[in-house]
Amino acid sequence: MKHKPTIFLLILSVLSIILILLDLTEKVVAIKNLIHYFLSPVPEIALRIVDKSHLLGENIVSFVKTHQENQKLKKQIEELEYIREKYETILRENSELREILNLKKIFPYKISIAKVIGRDPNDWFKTILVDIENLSLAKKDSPVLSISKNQVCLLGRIVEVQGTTAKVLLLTDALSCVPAKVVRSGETGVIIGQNKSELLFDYLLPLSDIRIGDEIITSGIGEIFPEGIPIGTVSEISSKQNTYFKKAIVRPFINWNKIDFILIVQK
Amino acid sequence: MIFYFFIFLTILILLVLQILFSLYIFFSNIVLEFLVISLIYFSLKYGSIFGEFYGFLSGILLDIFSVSIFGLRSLVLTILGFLLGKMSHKVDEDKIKVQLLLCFFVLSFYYLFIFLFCKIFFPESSCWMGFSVFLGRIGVNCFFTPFTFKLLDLLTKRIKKWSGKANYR
Repeated sequence: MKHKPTIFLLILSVLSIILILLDLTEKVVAIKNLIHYFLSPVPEIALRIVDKSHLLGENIVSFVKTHQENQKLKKQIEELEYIREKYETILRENSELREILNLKKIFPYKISIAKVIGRDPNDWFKTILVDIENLSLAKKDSPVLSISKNQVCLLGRIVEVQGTTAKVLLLTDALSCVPAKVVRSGETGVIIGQNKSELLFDYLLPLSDIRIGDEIITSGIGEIFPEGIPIGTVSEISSKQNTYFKKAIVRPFINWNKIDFILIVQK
Repeated sequence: MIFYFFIFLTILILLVLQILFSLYIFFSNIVLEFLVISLIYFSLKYGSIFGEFYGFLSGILLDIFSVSIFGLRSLVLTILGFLLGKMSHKVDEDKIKVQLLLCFFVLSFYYLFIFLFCKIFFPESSCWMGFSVFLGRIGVNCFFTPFTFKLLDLLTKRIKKWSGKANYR
């Protein structure tokens, strides 16, 4: 069996030569195609994997790019949101200031505008802090007005001036007392704060002519508040009969949660 | 039997690798002849008969997936398997120098044989790739030969282990 490799070589070589010689015959082509049919899925699968791997790489790159773009756009949205809010605030302030300017022209007293800079959440209906820098008019006991729905209304008075800030005692503070009258009947009384959003109209005579919905304005009695500044409307009248004075609940015109600018009246 | 099945599987994997490398990785007609390199390895390891059959089978597969003369590669690889098998246990195939030299001569013989065969029997066909491509192919294949040998070494050991276990059961 020494020549076994040589015999196999001859057999296989002859077989190969036969294949070469029979190359163009239909039988050989058919055999070739048959083997190709069975084996072709192998490289095809591999090629598909390679193609998929290309796609995978592209997808990863695309994903990273999309993520980066997403982050960038989110940042831009945040910036734009901030600008939009700022713009809306400025627009609102501008509108308020316009209203104030318009009212300033027709208002009979000399007034100056100040910005609210502080409000204590624990004493929401008591005091506010305003910036009075460059305002020579702001003095103790100066009446303070506000604007609500294009209407000037009484807010309170200055009780303390410290450098560039002033403390305003609001109408709703329990210490606040404002002489007032009913527009329709001229009945006078005193508006007293109750540390809540509504005011108490006190010291009205038992037979006073007052109705729900009546408008209340300052009466001008005393030296602090000039006459005719709107305060609010009567929302409730006390029904107790055996009392010396009639009392009414007044709902002020002021929107307590929307006080950005105030008007300080020169006495 | 399992060992031969794994060898057939190895031929298929190497064929796929060869196609993939030639399609996606290499350029200018540079082809990594994994099957020829594996023929060198297996012929040196297992002798002439194994080499002849391995050469014939891998040649047939190459012919099936190529458009050139059917049977030509099986012929040349059978001859190479026989010749390389003669050198089995006479050269140290683990030495890189030997691997490189064998790769150089085997590929030269392989390409020149195909060229001469075509030139003599099928003069109308163009089997010559050009001298630069010829040298380029041999150079690239020589570069990859030690790695392929190492890989095949590891694979064969693993196959032997698996097939041995399978036979034992």
